Amino acid sequence: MTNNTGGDNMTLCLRKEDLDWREIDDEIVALDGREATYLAVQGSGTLVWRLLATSTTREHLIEALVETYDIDATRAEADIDAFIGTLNDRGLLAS
Amino acid sequence: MNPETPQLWSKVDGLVAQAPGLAALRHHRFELLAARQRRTRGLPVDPLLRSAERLAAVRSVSVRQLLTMIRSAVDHPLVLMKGPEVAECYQFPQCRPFGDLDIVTPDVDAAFAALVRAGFTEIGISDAGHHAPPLVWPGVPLKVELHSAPKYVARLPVPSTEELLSLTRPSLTGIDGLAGFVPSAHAVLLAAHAWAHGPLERLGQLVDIAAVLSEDDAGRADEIARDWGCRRLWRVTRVAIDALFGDGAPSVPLRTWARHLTGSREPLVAERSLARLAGPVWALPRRRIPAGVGDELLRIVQRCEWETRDDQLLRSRQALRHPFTPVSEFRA
Repeated sequence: MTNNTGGDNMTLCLRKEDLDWREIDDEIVALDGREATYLAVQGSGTLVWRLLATSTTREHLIEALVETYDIDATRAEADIDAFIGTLNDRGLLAS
Repeated sequence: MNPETPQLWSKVDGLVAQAPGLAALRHHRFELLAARQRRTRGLPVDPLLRSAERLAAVRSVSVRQLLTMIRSAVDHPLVLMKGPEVAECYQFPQCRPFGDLDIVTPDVDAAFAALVRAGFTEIGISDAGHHAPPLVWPGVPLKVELHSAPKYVARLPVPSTEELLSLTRPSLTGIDGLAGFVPSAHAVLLAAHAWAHGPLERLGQLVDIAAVLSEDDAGRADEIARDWGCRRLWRVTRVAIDALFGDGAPSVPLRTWARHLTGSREPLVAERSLARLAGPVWALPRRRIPAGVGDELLRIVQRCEWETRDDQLLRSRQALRHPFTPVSEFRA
């Protein structure tokens, strides 16, 4: 796991300020007000985004991915870390 | 959502389900409701409906920031009407489409200049003088239209800006300092605005009015319509709404010149022309009907701004040859 994704039990949550999004079926359309950029999240990212909206942990995200998509834990960990890393780099996670 | 209107949304659901195709859904502004309904029912969602949803989502996430910027740039009172203000009254706000922000303000020129100074860009020209040229914020697919008064029915007196501003409350969008119209006034304005575009033409416009207006506000809306001199227009609209979304019997318009509404289909070319002529008869005070019908006859035969005389003749000839063509096919 990369350093910027937090420990397994560290609470992860999307930023509350200047971040607005709408859900369409299996897609999230978001506006990052600070950077004035639109984002689209699809597929498994939508599930992760939903969980991050109400705050969660890395461990829970991995479990959710394994359970929903029937993939092994190693791949789920890699996917979650990559996704969380991207969100973190864009400043979309609450500090 | 208006808590008193569960029957409204059930009826709307039925009207959406019976729409004969995408063109009808688009005409009645039901695309987003249809996409949601089909997904809820486990049916495939047409790619065009998904595109409409995606565009609506982009607009929806942009609204808050855009309105906040507008509010901070302009010193004068600002009243949001239609679009996102109405969406807040929908059962599912994301299902009410909008492509612009209509804002009533007492000094349109000053507000316009303030927004340009803040970085908004002017696009196009004003369509009929009822609002300033639309503005956009670069990269955001939403137009901002400033009005001193809403688009209104020809030969009816337009309420003054002062009177309109006296009938406001904090906007349902929750933006600090932004106002919206009280439901009774908003409903009457929506009815007049819709009628100005085409008498009883689109179901979505009638859904807006029904969503905004609760039973408690209905009496007040009747008073406002009477005071504004649009009592007949308002009554015809209310009766149509009662028939379409309530338990009322179909009114004469719904059985004749606006019968496309009961089938959720597009109007035919002939029906639209008939509706234009019937509109003044049903909406205007009796002494103004002849002049109103004259206006509409002129509108039907005269050239549009962008047409050459040959284009106009061709359009008239085609309308006479294909009176039973749905309006979207005729335009194409």
